[in-house]
Amino acid sequence: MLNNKDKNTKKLLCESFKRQLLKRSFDKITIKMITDGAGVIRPTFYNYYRDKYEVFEYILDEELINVTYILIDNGMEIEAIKMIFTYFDNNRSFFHEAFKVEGQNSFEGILVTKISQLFQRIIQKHNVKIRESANILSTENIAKYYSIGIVYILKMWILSDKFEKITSDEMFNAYMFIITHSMFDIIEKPV
Amino acid sequence: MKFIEILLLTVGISFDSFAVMTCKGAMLPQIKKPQLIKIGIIFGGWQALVLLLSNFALIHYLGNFIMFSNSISVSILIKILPVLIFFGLGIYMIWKALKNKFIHERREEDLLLRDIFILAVITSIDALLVGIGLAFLKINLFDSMLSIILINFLSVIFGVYTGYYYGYEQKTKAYTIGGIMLVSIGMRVLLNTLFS
Repeated sequence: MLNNKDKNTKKLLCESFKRQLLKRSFDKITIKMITDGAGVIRPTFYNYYRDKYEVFEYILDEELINVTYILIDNGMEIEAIKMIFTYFDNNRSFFHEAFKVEGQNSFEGILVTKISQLFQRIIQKHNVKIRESANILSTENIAKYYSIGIVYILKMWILSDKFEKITSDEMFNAYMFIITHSMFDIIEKPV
Repeated sequence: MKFIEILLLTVGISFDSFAVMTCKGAMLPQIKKPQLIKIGIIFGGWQALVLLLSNFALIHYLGNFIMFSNSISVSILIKILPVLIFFGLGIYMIWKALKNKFIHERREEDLLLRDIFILAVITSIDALLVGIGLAFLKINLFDSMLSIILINFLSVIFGVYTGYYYGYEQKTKAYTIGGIMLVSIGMRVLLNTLFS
């Protein structure tokens, strides 16, 4: 359990990392830059994080995932999903850089894992059974499928200039429409 | 070649070990001193051993054949080879500095001695070549043995501490300084050869 001083240091390191990501690409950020920005000595970093990727996990957990769990536990699933879109919109420039981190430990991969766990929680909470026609799939498979979908929408929205002016409400509504309708409901034949 | 030049050459190649250990130190959450001394002995000791053995072996076993050969091509080779080795290693180190390869800094709870030894073997190619180069210059490293062992040991200790406090990015400076030192010594040997 972290005490207040530790929590502050962890937060300072996280804030410093965020500032660094707005200045340079993820690969070029060193631990020394993060600790210098936080005003602590370099070895302090490893007391709180294993590496830079773990800072991403901390940011998502602290600022988004933990809050969405509370909403889900209080029966506000739709609000939880809406909050994801609002949060990404409010931190657009940070996530614009974060989504550029690719490879084995990509930010996208971390986000898919986190949201997949969130969707699993929703499924488990309602104690639902998978219908017979899809029961060869597990709840994990289904949660992952939907998390890849939402992460794709978020990534496209944040990275593409075309969607720069699209608000979180508009994107949330489009997303909700996609996941609650069949493909043939979404696509219209030109008249 | 004077004693001080031999020491400078040893310091030059030890910057390679220093750079490697900087990367290792950058992954540590804390430095355990007894373990660091073991690493210093294994890594630094191996570098020193390779340098000394390659030098002694060439002087004692191949020396007679090469040194007393009357062939002109062999005598030119003897003069040119050390210069090529020092220049080559120096330029290679500068290239590594310019390349400035990024490393994924990730906490490693411990430095495994097996990994350190493998790293020491890979890094010792420089020491092997310098030992050979000095043998061609008819320089026996026996008298400088203690200093060579000490320099290599210290390069490991300082490398780990530098990485721990200042990060792996310091390796660039180490490669640059080491590279410049090796090229300068190569230049000095070349000038000596040309004007002697």
